[in-house]
Amino acid sequence: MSLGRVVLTPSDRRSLARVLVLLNWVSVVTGAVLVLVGVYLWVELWRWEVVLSEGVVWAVPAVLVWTGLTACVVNLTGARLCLDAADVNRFLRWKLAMAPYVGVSLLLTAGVLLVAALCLVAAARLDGALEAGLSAAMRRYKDWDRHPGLKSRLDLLQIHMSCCGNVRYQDWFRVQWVPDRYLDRSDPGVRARLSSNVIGQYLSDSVPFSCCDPASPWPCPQTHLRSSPAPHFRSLAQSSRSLGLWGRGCREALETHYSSILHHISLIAVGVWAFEVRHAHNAPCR
Amino acid sequence: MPLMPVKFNLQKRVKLAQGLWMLYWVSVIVGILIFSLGIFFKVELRKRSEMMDNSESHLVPNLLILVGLLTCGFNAFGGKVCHDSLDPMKFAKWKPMLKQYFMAGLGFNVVLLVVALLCFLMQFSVYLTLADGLKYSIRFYKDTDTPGRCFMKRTLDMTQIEFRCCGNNNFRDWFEVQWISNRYLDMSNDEVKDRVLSNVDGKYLMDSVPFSCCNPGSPRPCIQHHLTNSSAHYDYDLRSEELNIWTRGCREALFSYFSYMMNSIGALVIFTILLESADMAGLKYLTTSLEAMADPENPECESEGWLLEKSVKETIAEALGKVKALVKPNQVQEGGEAPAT
Repeated sequence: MSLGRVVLTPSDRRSLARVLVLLNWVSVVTGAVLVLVGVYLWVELWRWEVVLSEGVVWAVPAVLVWTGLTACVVNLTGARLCLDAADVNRFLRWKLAMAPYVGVSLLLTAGVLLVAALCLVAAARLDGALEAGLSAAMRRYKDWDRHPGLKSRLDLLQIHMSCCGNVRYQDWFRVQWVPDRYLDRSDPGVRARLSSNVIGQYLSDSVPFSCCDPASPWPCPQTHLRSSPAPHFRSLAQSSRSLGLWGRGCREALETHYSSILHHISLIAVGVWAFEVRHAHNAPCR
Repeated sequence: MPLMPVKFNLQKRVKLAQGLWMLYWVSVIVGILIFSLGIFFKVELRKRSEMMDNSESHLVPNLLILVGLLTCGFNAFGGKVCHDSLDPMKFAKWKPMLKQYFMAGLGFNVVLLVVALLCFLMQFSVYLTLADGLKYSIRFYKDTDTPGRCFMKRTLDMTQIEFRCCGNNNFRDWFEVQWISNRYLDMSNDEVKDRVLSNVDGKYLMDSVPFSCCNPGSPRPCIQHHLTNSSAHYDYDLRSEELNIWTRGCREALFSYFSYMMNSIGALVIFTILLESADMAGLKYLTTSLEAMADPENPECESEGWLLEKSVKETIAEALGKVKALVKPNQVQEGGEAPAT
């Protein structure tokens, strides 16, 4: 006894075939959407790859693109199949390919669901990758000779993402971000700072200009943030908001940015999966 | 003698009608493009209106929006006429409107020409508005507590960052204004007192620029203070230091942005004029060849289509005569009475 047995007349079969062809074409479009979404994610990751050079998240765009392309190919085949189903002679050609086709489309459906799960896993793992990437980038900020362009990319990141430092602006106090060649070693102040710590680094309570917040009414004092400020400034409150700097760290900013993208992508993948499941019953085509 | 006559058989007529129909729909898309560019231009002007002291002229974008809509409507009508032209029944209802349509088309081309000229000439007005507006923006940069000017600082900072520019003509414009508000100055400090007393207006002037003038691409951490004093910083020579801050003025940066936009839109409008002329010429050939058919019942017959019924000179003379008749109807009447008496 077969499951869900239905009796169909020839004209019923023809209109069903037409509807299925249409559904297959819509699935081709959703496959293309997955490819585009994968490309978009890759571009967004590449934009700030200076701080996110490795992690599970880099595998997601490739998986999306390959799944999308497979979905396009499988659904194009399905459309062709359903188109030929109306004519008995042409359909006989497809008889042997039916079983593998059904198998591949079931695998594809499962694959789309796995993609959605992969996005959520990548979003959860972002924190660690960003922490490592940002610390390394901040340490290399001063090395223009060995890492040319890293300084400008990190500055642009802080400006565009409205963030400063790893977790907060004080992270800049713990690294030397002024290159050695611009330090006047004959100056007693500079020598004092260099000898004040074990590694002999020039640490100061100042931040790069890219930490400045244009929306703040303060004209952005970048230096002497811990002690009394530059002579012309009145004493400042300690919260970074009134200092005229960005209030949040870049780790938080980037995590929010990428997590929201990955969550939206996984929602799209779940939607595509639900659509595939609904018309995966190509049995009527037989 | 008709101007540029061409013989048409049925096949040629059908091909002309089909090609013309596609051309009309291309023109509709171009009309939509002009409309969207007009809206985009208007939005950009609004976004930068604080830099232009809110006195910029919205004439050009408004005209573009209007012209875009008119182009769409005009060409959609033309496309419909083309579509119906090969069916004599449907074509008959469009026939009486064709003469007015061609006159309207001519007028519309003149309007398009005026709009294109405005696109190229109004750039001068934009330049002058920018020069004045930026002067005020720099002056009011520090007034973050004055109502109506609270966001000037943020807007100017973000403009300098986005357009990679500093000041009005160049970064020295910042040396001439006090850009730090008195609220943040420690008036009991001797250095501050010296600076304030050193000029007639009592302004705190210094040779520094805001942080938004800094170039992130410079290998050196940004030097924004004491720019003219080479000895204030280690290994700093103000004459050779190029990359540290943006050297271009914001007036030049913003003007080149708007100028590029207006030149492109002007070029598109001129292309539209050429497209419209081609459309009208094609439609004229099609309609005249249909009207000139000797035997309307037999579509297979050959007919001749032309651009103008008489040569250019005769057509212009006829048109002038008609205009004179409209302007001075009394004279014609008198001339008619004279022979009777």
